[in-house]
Amino acid sequence: MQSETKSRVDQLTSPAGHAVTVLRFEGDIASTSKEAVLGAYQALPKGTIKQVLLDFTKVDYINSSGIALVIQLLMEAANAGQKVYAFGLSAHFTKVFTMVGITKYAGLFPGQTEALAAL
Amino acid sequence: MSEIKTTTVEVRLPSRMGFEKVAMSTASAVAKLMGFPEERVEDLKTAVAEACINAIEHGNRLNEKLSVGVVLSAGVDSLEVKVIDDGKGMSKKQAKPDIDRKMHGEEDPRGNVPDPGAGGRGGVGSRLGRQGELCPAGDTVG
Repeated sequence: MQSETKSRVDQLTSPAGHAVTVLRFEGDIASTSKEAVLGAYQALPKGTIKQVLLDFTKVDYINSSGIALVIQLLMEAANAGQKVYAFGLSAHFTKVFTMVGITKYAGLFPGQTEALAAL
Repeated sequence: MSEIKTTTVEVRLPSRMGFEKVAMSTASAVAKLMGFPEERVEDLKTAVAEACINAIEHGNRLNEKLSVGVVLSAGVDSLEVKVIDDGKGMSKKQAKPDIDRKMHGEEDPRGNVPDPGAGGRGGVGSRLGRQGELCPAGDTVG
């Protein structure tokens, strides 16, 4: 019933010249998405990455299990000294992420351009 | 006194994760027919989905022999959603989820784990439901 979650990694450079790792998600983010969300993050090379961008542009449905995976990712990133930002959330999920308190630990931006410009 | 007409739509779901989306789509369709603004439709979808997930996971403990009932009662200017499972209810009130406690590993990222067999509450769905008084009655959304 839940659509498969896909993820891929891109390496970009912000206008300010910082290296940024982008994790792009596609599909639903739910209890079955652990490998696509946490697995993809954990597979990133440790030590060299300072800034991670999460791209939710192609995500239609995120439930509480999916939010828990995002929080777990934020915990691991905080422990590794990395900053995490997100973009591409719908107005509704921007509200949900704000309600849950995720905005205290990850800056939210409407799109990739705005996110990169702020880094 | 004029009689208020209520239209009822019922859905029965298997206790399997993912089927909350069936209830979510049904609630969305009913709310759109009633003329809910788009923002409230989105709130309702999340509230219904989370209530169903609670019912599937905690109320029915993923027992596929049990089903989750979803009853949408549309009145003139209100929509009540009841989500019914075979749980025994909660023995104590759950603490409100806290992002700081989660981030410091003091609370499960998934939320406060309810008592076995109890319908969990207090998460995102519950808060979205309360925001717009979508659910004035007892065992309703959230």
